[in-house]
Formats: sequence, structure tokens, C-alpha cells
Amino acid sequence: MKAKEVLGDDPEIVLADKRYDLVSNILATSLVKGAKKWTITDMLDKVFIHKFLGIPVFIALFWAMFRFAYDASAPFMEIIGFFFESLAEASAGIPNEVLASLIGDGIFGGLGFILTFIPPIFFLFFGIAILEDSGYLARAAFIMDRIMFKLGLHGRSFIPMLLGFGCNIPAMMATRSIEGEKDRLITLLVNPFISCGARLPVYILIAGAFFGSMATTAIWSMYFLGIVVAILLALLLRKTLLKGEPAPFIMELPLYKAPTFYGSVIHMWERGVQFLKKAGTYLLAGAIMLWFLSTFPWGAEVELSYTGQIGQALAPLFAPLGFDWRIVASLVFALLAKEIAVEALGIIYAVEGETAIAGALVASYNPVIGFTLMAFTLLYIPCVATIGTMKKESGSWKWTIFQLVLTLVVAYVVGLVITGIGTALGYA
Amino acid sequence: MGFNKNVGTEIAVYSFVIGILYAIFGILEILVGWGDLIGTGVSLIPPLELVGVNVVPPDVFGGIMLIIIGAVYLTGVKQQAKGEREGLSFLLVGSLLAAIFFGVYLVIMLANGVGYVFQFEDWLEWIWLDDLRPGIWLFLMALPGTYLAFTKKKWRE
Repeated sequence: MKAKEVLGDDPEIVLADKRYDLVSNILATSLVKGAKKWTITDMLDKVFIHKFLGIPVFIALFWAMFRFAYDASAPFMEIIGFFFESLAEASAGIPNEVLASLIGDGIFGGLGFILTFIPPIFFLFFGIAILEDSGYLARAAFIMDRIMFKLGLHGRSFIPMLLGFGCNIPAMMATRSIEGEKDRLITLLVNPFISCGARLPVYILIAGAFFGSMATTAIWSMYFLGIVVAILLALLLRKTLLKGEPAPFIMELPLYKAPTFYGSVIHMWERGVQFLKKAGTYLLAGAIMLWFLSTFPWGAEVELSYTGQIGQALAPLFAPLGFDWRIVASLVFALLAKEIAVEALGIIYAVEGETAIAGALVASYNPVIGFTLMAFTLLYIPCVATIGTMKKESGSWKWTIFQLVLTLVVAYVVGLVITGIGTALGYA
Repeated sequence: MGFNKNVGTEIAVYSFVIGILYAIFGILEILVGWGDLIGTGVSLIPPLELVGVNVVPPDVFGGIMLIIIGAVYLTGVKQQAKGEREGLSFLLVGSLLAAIFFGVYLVIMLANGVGYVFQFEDWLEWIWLDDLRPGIWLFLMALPGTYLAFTKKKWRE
């Protein structure tokens, strides 16, 4: 602190400036410069980190990525969906009624349905791998740093945010590279608002059901909303609870290189396999648990099942958002993992396949409720594992509970705003 | 031959034409798709058809992306006309973006073809011409610029 006062700036920055001054002085007396060759990296950076074009180009590239992930994967989702629907139908022939229901409705109807989302998840990770391998993602951090620093935030925060597109847990662990305690805490607190891969199946289901040709844009808007909410909340925290100046961010931009198909596929696999592992463990267990809670007491209607009772007990709290007990129950179970919301809707509606579930949703809700549900899914705490990670990384139950409450309150308030605007515009 | 004012003027005219075309078709996609966005389903201009096929799809956000590509091309025109090699950056990135969107739309067209071959419900009436959007055929016009931007190493010296 004293060194900073004497030098008038951060000592590391002053040291780096002096070092560059020294190098410049030596070079000025010893080097005769020819015309510098204008490399491909120079040319690309001229536009990718351009003052005005940088952000629109970033938006265009991410939009192209979501378009690829959503539209190009649709027929492959149908193929997987058809496979599991056939298995579910075949399981109806099992003589034991309870076992037939477990396998048909619970495993093939619930887990099988979530597995239809393998293509868009892998396609999205393929797109992210291409952007990362080419060197562009580092530029995305750079252009966002410019905005974030103006808002008084730490530029390095954006790198964990980018990691959060895959999974929030490694992203929260990546905040260890942030030096200032307050900077790190702010980044930890807002990271869950960045949309991880687990939310994608929920967006695809809801957007596909309600928004037709605008589905890609609705999905893309969720990723954008997540970034905007994270930045605004970080700013709010910086101005209130965690006051201070952000530490400077020095980042070396790598050279651009053409990503190879093989390399990008490997990176896609490394991320995507986490989803497959989760499907074989958490999501399978979740599907069986959901089937049990939605089927018992045996023979009762789903409204009277344990799931129905949980949903109906909490439904009045969410009535202002237009959520009924089915949505509320699916959101409660999605605390285990966000994909479970999709499993839950499949099991609660007791229909198989994306088209049938989408049809059931359209018959029950309107586009405003659909969009509110997408935003709520984005903004409330990603999963129980992130709560554990927050406790471990912050070392504080106080901040962990604060984050839990913060995400719920933000999700609720944003949901109310969307409901209000959507209703006022006549979309309800 | 290095990049100079004579070559620069030709490249500037080329970038201007491509940039304007991207911007025009971007605006048309917005006008045609506006009704879908606001829920009325009524476009601000009549659908633009050629031999019974929609030349401009109703896609507001797709249109915005075309305008962004057009803006990248147009931003470099002034520097290119002056013979400044920095102006080539905009031709290169504009072409790169055009190529990325071309690739994405082409992959979507192929994927829709898979849906048609399997005769899934949503693809029963699909024809490949439905997916032949401006983002695909405008890139064919941008192809010469893309080739020059990547291969003319002397222009970068």
C-alpha cells in the first residue's frame, strides 16, 4: 500500500513500465528498423479487438456457434429420441407393472430423454473448442476486460466466466488465479450466473416448444443475459459490500492458429464426456428417484404423488411467475443437476420424446412463462456441487449462503421483470 | 507487387460492394422477419420470392449478423482506398466471418437433409432451396476477396 502511494500506481505496473522503457531506450540506439511485416495475427487483431467492431464481432461469432449447436443437431436429436421411444414402448411388454413403469417411464422416458441432448451439447463444446484453439477466446477476454475495467471490475474475472460456459465448478476453482481477495470473491459470487452446459437441454426444450424459428436467438439470449447479470451484479458488489479498486490485468495474447478438426474433437470430447459420466451416475439416480416420487403412492395420479405434493406445497411462492406445481417440482429436483429439470418434466407429463413434451408444455403455458422459466433456470444456483465448491473456495458459510440467496432473489426478480414486460407487450 | 493505392482502390471498391450487399440483405432479413419477432406474423415488406422460393428468410437476428459482416467490410474501405495495408485487415476478417456463416448454414442444410432422408415429421416438406440463404450465396461473391486476403503475402510486407 505504501509503495503504491509513493509510486502513484501499482508497483507491478510501474516495474513493467520501467522495464519496457529500458528495453525501448536500448533498442532505439542499437536497432535500425525496417518496415514491420504485417502478420495474419496483426491483421486479425486489428478487427477482433477493434474499439467499435470487437463486441459486435464477438456477438456474431457466439450467435453462429449457437446456431450451429441448435439447428445442426436437431435431426440427430430426433434419431436418439426415436431410439429411446422405441425402447420405452418395448418395455411396456414387461409383465411386472412396477418394473415396466420403472424401465419405460423412469429410465427410458426420463434418462433416455435427457440423452437426446447429447448432440447439441457436443456441438456447442465443439464450437467453443474451435474458438479456444484458434486463439480467439483470449481476445474475447481482452475486449470484455476493456468494458469490465471501465466498470471497476477485474479483467481476469472474465476468464473464469468463459470457463463457466462449460461447467461452473472448474470455473470457480479457476478464480484462484485472481490475486485480490475482493476481486476473487466477486468473481466467485457471480460465476454461477454464467450459463453452463447443463442448462442447455432446458433451453433447447423450452425454446423449441415456444419460439419456433426464433429458438436459437432465445437460447443465445440466455447466455447473453447471464453475462450481463454477472457483470451488473459484480458492479453492484464492488460499489457496496466489496468496495475497492480492481487490480490491473496484464495478459499476453497468443498467436492465432488454424484449429485442427482432430484437436477440436479431442477438446469437445474432454468436456462432453463429463455429461456422459453424469448421465451414467447422477442423472440415472435422479431419474429413478424422480420416477419413484412421481409414481408412488402406487396408482395415484401424478398430482397426488410425492412429487406433486412437493410441487404444490411450493407453487404459491412461484405463482407470480406463472409457474405451476409441475414447473416448481422440476426446478426443485434440478438443484441436483440442471438437466434433471428436463427429466422431471418428461416424467411428470408421462410422455416420451421431445415433440410430445414440447406439445404438453405449449398446451399448459404461454411463451412468457417459457422465457421466464429459461431465465429462472439460468439464474438460480446451478447445482448442489456449486454450493460445495463455493464453501471450499470462499472458506466461508456466510458467503456461501449469501450466494445461494443472491441467485434465488436475482432469478425471482428477473423472472418478475420478464413476466411484467412480456404481459405488457401482449405475449402472455 | 506490394499493396499500393492502385491495388487499394480496386480492393476498396470490391469491399464496398460486398459490404453493401451484406448490409442490404441483412436489412431485408430484418424487415421480412420483423412480424415474427413481435408476434404479428406480418412482415414489413412482402416476401421476396424467386421461382417460388423465399430468397430472404424471415430472420431478424440472422439479418443483424449479416449487417455486422457488412460493417466489417465497409470499415476498411477508406484505408484500402488510401493504399494503407491495415485496411486489408477488414477484408480478411469480413471474409473470415462470411466463411464461418457460410460453413454454419451449409452444415445446417446438410443436417436438415439427414432429417429429410429419415423422414422425420419436421422435415417431411423440407427442400434444400429453403436453406439457400443470403449467408450462403453472398459468400460465393466474397470468395475472391477471401482468396486474395489470405494468399497475397506481398501485400502484407
